[in-house]
Amino acid sequence: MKISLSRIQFFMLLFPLFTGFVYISIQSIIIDSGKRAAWLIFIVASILVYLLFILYEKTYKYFILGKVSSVIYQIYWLFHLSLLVSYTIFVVSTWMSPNTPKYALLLMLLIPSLYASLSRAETAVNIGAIFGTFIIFFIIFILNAADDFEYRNLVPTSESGLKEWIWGLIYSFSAYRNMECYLILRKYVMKNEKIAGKPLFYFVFLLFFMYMFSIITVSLYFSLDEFRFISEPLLYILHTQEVTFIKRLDLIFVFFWVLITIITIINFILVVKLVHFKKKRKYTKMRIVLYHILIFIFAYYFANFADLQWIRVRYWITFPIFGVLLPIMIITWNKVRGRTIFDSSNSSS
Amino acid sequence: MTEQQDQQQIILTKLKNSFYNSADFVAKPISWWDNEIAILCFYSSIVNKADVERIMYFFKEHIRDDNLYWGESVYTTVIPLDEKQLAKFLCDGETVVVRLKTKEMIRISLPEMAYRQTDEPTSEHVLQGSREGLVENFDVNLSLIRKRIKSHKLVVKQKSIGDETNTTVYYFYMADLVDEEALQLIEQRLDNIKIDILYSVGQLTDYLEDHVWSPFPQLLKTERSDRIAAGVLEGRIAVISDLSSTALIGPVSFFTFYQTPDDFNGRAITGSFYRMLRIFSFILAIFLPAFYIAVISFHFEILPLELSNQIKTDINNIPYRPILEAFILELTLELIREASIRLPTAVGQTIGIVGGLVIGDAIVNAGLVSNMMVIVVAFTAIGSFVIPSTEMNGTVRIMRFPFMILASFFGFLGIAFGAAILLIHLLNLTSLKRPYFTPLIPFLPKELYKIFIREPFFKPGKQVKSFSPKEDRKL
Repeated sequence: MKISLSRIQFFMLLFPLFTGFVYISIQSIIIDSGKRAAWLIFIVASILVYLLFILYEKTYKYFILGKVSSVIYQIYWLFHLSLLVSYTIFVVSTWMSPNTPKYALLLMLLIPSLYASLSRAETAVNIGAIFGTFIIFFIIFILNAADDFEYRNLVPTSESGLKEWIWGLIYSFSAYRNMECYLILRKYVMKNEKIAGKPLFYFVFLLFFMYMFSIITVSLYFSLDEFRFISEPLLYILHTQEVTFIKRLDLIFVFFWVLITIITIINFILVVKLVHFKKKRKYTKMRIVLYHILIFIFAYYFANFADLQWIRVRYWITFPIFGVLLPIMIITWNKVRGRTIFDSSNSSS
Repeated sequence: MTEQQDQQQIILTKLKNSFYNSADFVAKPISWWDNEIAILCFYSSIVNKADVERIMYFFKEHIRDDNLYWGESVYTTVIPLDEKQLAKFLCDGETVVVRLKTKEMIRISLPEMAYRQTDEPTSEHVLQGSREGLVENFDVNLSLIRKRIKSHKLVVKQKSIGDETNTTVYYFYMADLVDEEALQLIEQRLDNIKIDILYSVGQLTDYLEDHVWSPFPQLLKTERSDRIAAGVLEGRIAVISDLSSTALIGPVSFFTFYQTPDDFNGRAITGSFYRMLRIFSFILAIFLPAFYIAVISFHFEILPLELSNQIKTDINNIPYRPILEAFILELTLELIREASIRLPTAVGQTIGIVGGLVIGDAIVNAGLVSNMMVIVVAFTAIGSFVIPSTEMNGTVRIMRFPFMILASFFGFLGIAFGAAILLIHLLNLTSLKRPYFTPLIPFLPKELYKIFIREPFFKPGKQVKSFSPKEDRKL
């Protein structure tokens, strides 16, 4: 399977992958662990992540997935996607459709993904463009709560000690999980398109801005103790907002968020397809259908409050392992051997 | 009887037989120059007989003067006798003189087929701008286009399609602006049409479109000559047949269907406003009834208290579920619309008034549907009728039904599901292999604002192109 991406397409593919479904839930855990300095910790974490992006940009050509690493990533992504889907249906059934059966909710999310995955690759590549519309709506909705912001919630930052900083950093990094997708998709960017420098900075800054905006607004709105009990603070803020014609803005946002999640799933499955179908394989469509069936089965069993909470607290582990450690090992190994993606693609063709 | 007369009689009989002795088929011997006898044949129903007579007189004059190119003129040409071609020429409305002695055919191309006068297209009204619409005659149509594009780069090609009907299909484009790949595709698809009968533009559409089963039109149908000229000048290709007053233009994007000549004939700011309004009308027409059904079936809490109480009181007296209510009204509306199209204009308007006011009021009074549903459906109908393209209008009206069903089963989630499927479908679509949802997807930031904004003409300074322009150049 071969695609070629323009710079805009590349960043539009990545944007939902980074912000997609985690966006409504990550703030609680970061603020709860980082306390008052959470916003400051997030800035530090984002700077470190930006450095990691620069490192990956310089070394992406050494990121060649072998047989073992491909299998590891594919298993991880299956787990990750199942979790993503199960969390989504958990949120949807909590906020929007409490009486809809779990299997129906799963079908609602997976059928569009299956349709897009069975369509031509351009569909998945370009679908992220619709994302921008939602961001504007979202920012306008959230800013409705400005009158209730308590600016003293952000200080004093010195209340946060070493423990808060360490855990705050760890959970802040979680916002940038899926770093491996950058490395996987990077090689498909057309050679004449410039990524390093300003474009990369703008992209990371936009990610940072989106998260920072949400962390600051929820910090301003809720007191620290409340975060222990609120899993989706953004939805709670929207829930309390009432405009002239709509009483529950949160429902509208969940509606948009479901669409965003579907886009995220579609983009993620594109990444999976790029790795899985790197070599020509038989029964392409059948494999894609099977992959969706597997997600359906796993997500069906994950989708309960206790399991999701248990996984959520421990899910920070995926960033250091799959986003940092494994990629750096692969890059170092190939750099030592002097193999690049260009050699690899030449030999495979 | 001389040998020449015998031969002439045989050919006459053969000709009449091969044209099945049609009442309007004329084949008769005439005296040519120097005691030569020729056979004159034509269909009397499709030939301008007076002009042919005049031409014949001039022929004899020229041949007597021994002119070298005596048979060549604007209307006439001389070619070797070919029986197969003879039938085709006659069916095209030509008059043919067969010279037995020299085995030549003199073609006199003066057909007189019935067609109506140029008029404003009834399905594409504009407030300002040209009123000249196409008619069922190629020469008239092309003259309308050539009047607007006085350039030798406007190329017209033709192709005969349909073994029985021999319908002539014409396609035209600007030689230096045309999207070459799209042109090749059109030519290839026209070549591949192997049918006996071609009588409608709908048939042609099915053969030329990329996705026949999609509800969305991928070629713009128009009867407006100014719109065709604008499309051709943007590098598109227009296809028309001599049977219909509708032209097909491609490649187009989804947003092309939301533009009208009024945008460009009016002021920039007004054009931009109405362009945005039309895009909004698409969302309104598809999603409003579904949204309403979702709200009153699942998410009542979304409404402010005052409105919520009002609606609850209103719908409490309705015995049916909201989806049924909506279907009753929507189908009534569709019936009224269909009836008003089929009936003569004056009666059609009456039906519209009777249907809209009398039946609408009666339905509410009978307690079959609520007042609120009437308001929603009325807004939806107005939203769909705002769309300038009748085809897209039909698509949007059909599209709201699946959304209503999804909303009645799953509420907002159903709408989100439907919207995702719709979006993916629109992304999958292509018009002559060009992306249908451009410039939104693939995302072209520099082109995006043109969906909503009608730029002033002095501003662009560049040739407008639809897809893959070779190079932009100053006008």
